[in-house]
Amino acid sequence: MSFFEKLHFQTNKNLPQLFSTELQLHHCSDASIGYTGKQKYEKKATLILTSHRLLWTTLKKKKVSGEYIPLSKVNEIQDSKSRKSKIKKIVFTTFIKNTKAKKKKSSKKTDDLVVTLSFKSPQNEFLEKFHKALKEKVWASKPKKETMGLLGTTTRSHNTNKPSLTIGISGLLAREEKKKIQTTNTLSQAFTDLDSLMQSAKEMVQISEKFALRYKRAKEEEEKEKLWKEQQKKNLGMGIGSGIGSGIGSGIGSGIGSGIGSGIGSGIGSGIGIGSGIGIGSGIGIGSGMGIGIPRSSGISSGRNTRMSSGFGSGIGVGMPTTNQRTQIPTSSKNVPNQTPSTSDLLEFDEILFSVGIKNPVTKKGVSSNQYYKKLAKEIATFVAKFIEKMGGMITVIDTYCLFNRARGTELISPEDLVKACKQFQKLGLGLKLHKFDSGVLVIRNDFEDDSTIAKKILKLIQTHGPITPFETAMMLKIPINLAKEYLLTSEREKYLCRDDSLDLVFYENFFLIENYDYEKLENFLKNPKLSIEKSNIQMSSPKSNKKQVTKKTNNSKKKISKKNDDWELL
Amino acid sequence: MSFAWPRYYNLPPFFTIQPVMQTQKKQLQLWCDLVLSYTRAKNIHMIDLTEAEDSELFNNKNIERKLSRQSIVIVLEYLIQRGNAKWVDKTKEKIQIVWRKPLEWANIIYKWATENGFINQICTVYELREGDMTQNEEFFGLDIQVFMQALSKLEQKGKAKVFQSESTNESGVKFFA
Repeated sequence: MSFFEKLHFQTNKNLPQLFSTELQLHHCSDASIGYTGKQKYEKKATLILTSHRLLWTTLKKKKVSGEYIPLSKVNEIQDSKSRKSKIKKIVFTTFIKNTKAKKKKSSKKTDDLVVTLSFKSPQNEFLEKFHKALKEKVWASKPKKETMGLLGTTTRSHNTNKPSLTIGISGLLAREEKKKIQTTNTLSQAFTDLDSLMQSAKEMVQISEKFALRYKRAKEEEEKEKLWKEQQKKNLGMGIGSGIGSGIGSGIGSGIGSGIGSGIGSGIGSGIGIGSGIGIGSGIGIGSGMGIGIPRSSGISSGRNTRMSSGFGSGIGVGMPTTNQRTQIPTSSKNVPNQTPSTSDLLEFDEILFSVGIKNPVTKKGVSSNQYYKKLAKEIATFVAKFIEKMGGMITVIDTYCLFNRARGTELISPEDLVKACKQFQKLGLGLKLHKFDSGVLVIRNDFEDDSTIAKKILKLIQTHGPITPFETAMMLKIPINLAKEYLLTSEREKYLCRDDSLDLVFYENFFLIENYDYEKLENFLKNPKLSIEKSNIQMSSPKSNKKQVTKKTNNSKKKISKKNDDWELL
Repeated sequence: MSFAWPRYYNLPPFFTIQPVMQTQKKQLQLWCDLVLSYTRAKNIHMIDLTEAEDSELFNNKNIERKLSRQSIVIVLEYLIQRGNAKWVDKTKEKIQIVWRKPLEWANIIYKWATENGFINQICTVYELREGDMTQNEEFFGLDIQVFMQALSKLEQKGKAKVFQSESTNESGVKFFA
């Protein structure tokens, strides 16, 4: 026992304290470690292989204790006789001197400690990883942080020691050097300061959640009192915009912020954002701002960004309110357009909200794979639940992957992990399920929803809007086109629809199977051809202006293209 | 000679063979009914596949939809299954539409004969098919082959006898009670 070093544990947790760059590679609970010699030693423990060490922990009366061998002290792993067989024992030599061992003539000349690991279940993987870890020698390489830190310290000392040479060319050069060093310093600090940023991110999330609450309340009030309340809400601040995007920033911020995506900007950014409209706050943010891009639910229309991006960070990026349109004093009803700005503001805000939401992403570190998938599944479920209703009760796994990873920011998950976690949904009773359509499209949908409910929804849609193509369905329901096609095919399978495949694929109500079908209605639909619904919807403009154009263009009163939520509410 | 098209004839999905079984079945039934009523109204007994694609039966120019060659074959095969058609020869280029079975014709002819007092009397086939007496009858102008098939059915039943006149090469039929 005295040969090995004592293992330190994390405070209040039974998890071992790992070094900053140390990564857990493998984990085995039913193992025992021992060495032979004069004093035989064998201990049953949970064995953990990391990139730097081999640890083992034992649990006695709820108290953990453990020890480790640094991998640098491991010499060689003895080859097992037959590689193919299940490995239940690993023997390796170390550089630790076994001072208590007897010198055997038959054994090796040195008195190095020979350690044996034995397992109850075969652990071929462990052996492989052990080999790999020894090969890679992660402990030997100097971590970047330290070098950066070193750089920092050296430059600082460099600065203090240097006499101030401010004259002449050497002075100029010195100044330039100084500037360069400072920027490198700040950048390196920025990179390494990700932790503090993440801390800020948490605060951001809290703030945004507060706003979410307010927004909900506001929505209720809005329906009661129109004008005055709207004015109030606007000032509450829809300004979680892409902070640095519109700013002039050096560093990471500017690039990412103005685009679509979550930018964690930490450049030296002076974000000067000016909202479009009257009476909007202009804050000048200097310092670390948080850029939160605006997600797209189905990957269209980048145009919206321009409005929202005029928010920015002052300090920790909660931007000043931006209003996208008029903010005049409500005097007469004329000023207020039909579709109130606040509604669309709120809608967009909503969308932003679900991109910000994950404070503590589940990671694989220190967690067994089963648990990891369970936790991940729970995280995905809570995340998806926020907006699945808006998406019509169903979201493709692809979209989930994009949105989920965006919300996470760091610690992204792979597609396979996502699917594996989704498969756990029903087992864990999370109210969602993974569903595969005949064509292979994977979706996450609510538990209580099944094919027939969707089929009926689509049927109602067709009854109101007439014969429909997958493209039009996608447009109207604001869902991706492959999902729209699946909906239609499901409805067809349920015999609610029939198809016309001659030119483009169009779906009709299934008049074949309806007794006394009302042909008149359908004939009417056919007589009045659909007027450029597709054209107006393709334009990359705001959904509000989209809807306005569409309502202008369609002549047939029967075809009211209603708001996205309304369509589903109809159903 | 305007044929009264059924309403579903003007709907595009009618011209796409439906993938869903139940719907397809119903669709084919409707197609068969349409083919039979059309051929009956236009007194068509033979359909040539090469011409069929352009005929107004399978090609609705108003809605710019038509049945593809394959789909036409599917419809005709269904007709054959129902017993309302059969291929003329092995090449499957022409199909004979039988919108009324010979037996049915036989009964109609016999009924007419009894109603008009031709029992135990002889008529020529010509008279029956194209004579003045039978102008309003359904079997007026009936295809000769079908007519003869009908008569042979009657013969089988023992309700009539067909015989050839030696001199005029005409066929005659005598009805029995």
